[in-house]
Amino acid sequence: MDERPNVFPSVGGHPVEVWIAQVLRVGVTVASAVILLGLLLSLFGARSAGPHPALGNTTGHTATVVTPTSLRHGLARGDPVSILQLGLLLLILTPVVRVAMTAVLFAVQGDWTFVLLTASVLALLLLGLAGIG
Amino acid sequence: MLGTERFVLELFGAAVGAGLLGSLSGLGGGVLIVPLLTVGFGMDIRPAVGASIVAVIATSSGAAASYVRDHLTNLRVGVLLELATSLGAFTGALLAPHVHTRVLFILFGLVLLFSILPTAGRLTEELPRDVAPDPLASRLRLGSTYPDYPSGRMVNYEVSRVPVGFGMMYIAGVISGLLGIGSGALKVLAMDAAMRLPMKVSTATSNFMIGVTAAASAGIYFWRGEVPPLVAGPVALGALVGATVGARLLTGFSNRTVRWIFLPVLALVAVQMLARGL
Repeated sequence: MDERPNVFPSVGGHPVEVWIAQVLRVGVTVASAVILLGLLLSLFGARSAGPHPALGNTTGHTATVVTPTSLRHGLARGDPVSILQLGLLLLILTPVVRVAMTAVLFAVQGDWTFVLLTASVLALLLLGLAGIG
Repeated sequence: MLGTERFVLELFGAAVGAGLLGSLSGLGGGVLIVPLLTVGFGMDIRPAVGASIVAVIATSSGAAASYVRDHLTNLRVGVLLELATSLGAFTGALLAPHVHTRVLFILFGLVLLFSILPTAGRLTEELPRDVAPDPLASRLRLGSTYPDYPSGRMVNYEVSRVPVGFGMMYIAGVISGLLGIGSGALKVLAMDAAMRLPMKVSTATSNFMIGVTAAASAGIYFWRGEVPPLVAGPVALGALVGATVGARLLTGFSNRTVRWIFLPVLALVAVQMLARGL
């Protein structure tokens, strides 16, 4: 069976698969909770009447660029829409963490070809998250 | 203002429906969200794509976790092909601002129609036989084993035509990045038809890759300000609820019956998207 290396190897007492499944479940759960919190605060928190300013960019090309700085400042103010955006960002980060985790698992198995492959995927994802484009 | 609350609640409810339908039809949650937001809610297609691509991460992760846990996913094939899909998604997201919205609508309609075809045609799910592994598959040790639950046996399988699969995955990634969908149908086709993986492994591995593919373009859309938070939030949560409920329901009835019920609905959606572009 040594020709089939990926048949349920174990890392830290658990099959590789359990670790990966766990990262996905926890990531989506945490992100959903933050999204829900931001959504509830946006809708039912105290604020002036009128259509929500964050709805402005659903039609037309009025997209306003989000920057790490604007997000950080919004969060520091406790701005509900920024909390909502943080939740969405956590959702986007979940697969990224999963890829990083996969790289570690391949490294533990000493499978350097696949560490390299996984690291390339990770680099590409981080490039997108760094706001290239 | 009551209008905003109502809008968000309606979005949530509609997304539950889209997630449910996507999960029951086997096409995934994402494929119905862009039509829902554009045709249903009159939104512009670009923010709709941005909201959808984030929701795709939420809906695919649950199934991906279950398949991985059940040892149906081929992690090595998944990681190798993720390189192609994320490269493609990256390309798609960079290309998107330069593509006319009408072209996006037409492309979406066509992709939807083509996704329906294999769903309609897939009647048997027998195991591929006499698959000769190509040199790359041997060198990367891509062949593996999966547990076939109905028979209770461990099934060995080989992987062929890796470069063809890699190329198809790149295209699946471009489409995902352009249109805000998981491109699951095309991913399964690449692994099933080109690489000759068993159907169950193809489906599981496709799901495994969808989240990563979506994340590759979602980051770009997010910082571009094309993920409207008050749309993407309720849509992601709703689609997640719908997909989770759908996965529970699916064990109850036959896949094929479900597919035939939803095919006309999906065809209608495809035609509506095409009509918006023409």
